[in-house]
Amino acid sequence: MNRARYWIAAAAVVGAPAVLFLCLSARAAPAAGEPARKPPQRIVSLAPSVTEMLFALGLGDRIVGATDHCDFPPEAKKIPRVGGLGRPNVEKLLSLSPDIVIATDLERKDLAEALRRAGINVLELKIGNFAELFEAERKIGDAVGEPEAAARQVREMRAQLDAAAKLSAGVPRDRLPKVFIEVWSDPLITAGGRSFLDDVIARAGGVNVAHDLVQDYPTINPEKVVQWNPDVILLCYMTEAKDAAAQIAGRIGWGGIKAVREGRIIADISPDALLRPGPRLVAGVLQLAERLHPPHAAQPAPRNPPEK
Amino acid sequence: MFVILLALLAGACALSLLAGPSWVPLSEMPESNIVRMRVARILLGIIAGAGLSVSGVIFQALLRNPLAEPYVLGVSSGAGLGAAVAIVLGLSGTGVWGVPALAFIGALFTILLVYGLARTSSGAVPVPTLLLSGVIVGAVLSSILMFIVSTSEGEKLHNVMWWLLGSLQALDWRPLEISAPPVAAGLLLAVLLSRDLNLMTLGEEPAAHLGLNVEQTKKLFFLVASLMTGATVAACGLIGFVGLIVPHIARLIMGPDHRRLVPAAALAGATFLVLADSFARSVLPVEIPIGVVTAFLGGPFFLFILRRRTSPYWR
Repeated sequence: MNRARYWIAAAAVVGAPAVLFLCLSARAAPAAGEPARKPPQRIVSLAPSVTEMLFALGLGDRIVGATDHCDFPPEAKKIPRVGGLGRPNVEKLLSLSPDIVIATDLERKDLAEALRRAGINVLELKIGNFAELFEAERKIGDAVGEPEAAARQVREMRAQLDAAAKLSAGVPRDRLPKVFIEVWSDPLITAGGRSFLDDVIARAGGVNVAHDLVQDYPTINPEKVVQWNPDVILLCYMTEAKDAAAQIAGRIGWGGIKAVREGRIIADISPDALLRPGPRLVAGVLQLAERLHPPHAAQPAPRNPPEK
Repeated sequence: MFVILLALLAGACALSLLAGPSWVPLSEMPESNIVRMRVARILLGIIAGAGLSVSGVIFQALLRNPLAEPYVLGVSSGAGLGAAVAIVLGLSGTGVWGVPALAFIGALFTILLVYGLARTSSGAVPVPTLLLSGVIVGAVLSSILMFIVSTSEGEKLHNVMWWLLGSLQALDWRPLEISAPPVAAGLLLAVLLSRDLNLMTLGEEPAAHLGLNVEQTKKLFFLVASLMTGATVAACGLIGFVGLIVPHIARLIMGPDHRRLVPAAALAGATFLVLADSFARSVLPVEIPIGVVTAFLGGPFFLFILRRRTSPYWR
């Protein structure tokens, strides 16, 4: 074996990519000119929630591209599709020549960078709770040149949340209903403490039994639900969950759970109102709060001593 | 030896009754809801473990190939594809039979297709052709499956992925109802006809000379093994590795005589899955897919046994 050749080969293996990388990064120096000062006229939304926020701001006619899931308001269905949630077809996206792309959960993190290099403004939002939702609304308002409308939206949403909070005002924390959120049944998936649903439950005046689990949507052992013994079971399937409520009562070992015994299984709130982090979410919270704290039952129902 | 295997299974069941996120005192056990849930999972583990292992034994005997198992023949892929189609079409969720039914149809359709492709004009089904067409059909079906996975999103994706890794989670008795009858029937048949399996391992020609109707026997056992696989896949998803390694472990312990091998594999498979499930549902606050556990624990264990042998093991 020739030692020198070995080292040359090694140098080539290390060096060639390094040189290539340097060339590429030099070439990639931001060519994008100063973003246009006038508000963007061509917007691509990569999330149904963003589409809803834009429509709520009265900017529906400026959306030139949306995801396959953008179905609300009904006009949104007519917008050209660019792909799934956070996973656009890049060619399709570029062909729409947008001024700005607004996304929440990009599947590939390098996509935003690539789009920016192509001279497209990208607004990436993280919406994991109500504080972030309001923040996102404001950022969108700034980006599209409608800050006042966005601020008004946020005020309206806050007002609805306050209305929801009133329903459980004065109930001590340890008497708030314990809620088990069922996101899916096969496997059994709930929503953990870092999910948006956790915040939804809290704002509606409930306590998420899975609050201590760190994953957003953990797959759990059904035994846990028996152990938690929730007062209310909230079904949040993305698809309709009509017969699920009846089916839950027939599950092995679930008959003793308080929510099942008392029939407090909520299955009729539209999943979009609970899962889509957009302007309609506050309506979902209000609806849920009314179910968790029925207004006519003025005095809190007497609590049975916990059964074995 | 069978006494030991039975004792192991009983021990695994007892351990599994105690394993879980919460501790149930012995005095409360008889009426505890949590224990009822565990019993359902243990029963499902026994059925699935026995079903997968015995179908593995059957496939290995028929094809005289140590790699033969439901996966190699494409049966699992077919069942998996059927289930994925059902999930994507929205047939999953609660109270619907869509997923198990389509998984079943997928398994049966695949073995018929593979068998039909491998059959020569004279009606014989050579083993190498059968294995090859099984692998190829499996690959094509897997590609369709992956296509579905890549185009589905969010919950459905999670649902499909979870299903591909298998689980003994049983919210109601339905998984038991759909898997128990086919597995019990298949097990009974394999025990009753275990001498035919012995003949088949001699090779098709010797078996025919000894008076066995080879093609008939092959057809019958393929159908039985596919039904058992389809039934367990329908009930618990794709639990890999059990059908491959448990027959080998049983053969290492019991020797190659199928009269002893079939029941031993059923017991060993049941024990293995019950243990794997206890592990999967109790080590973390979330559930681990059981397919992950079976491969992770089963693989090294099998290699350990294999290395301890001094003589070549498969002929």
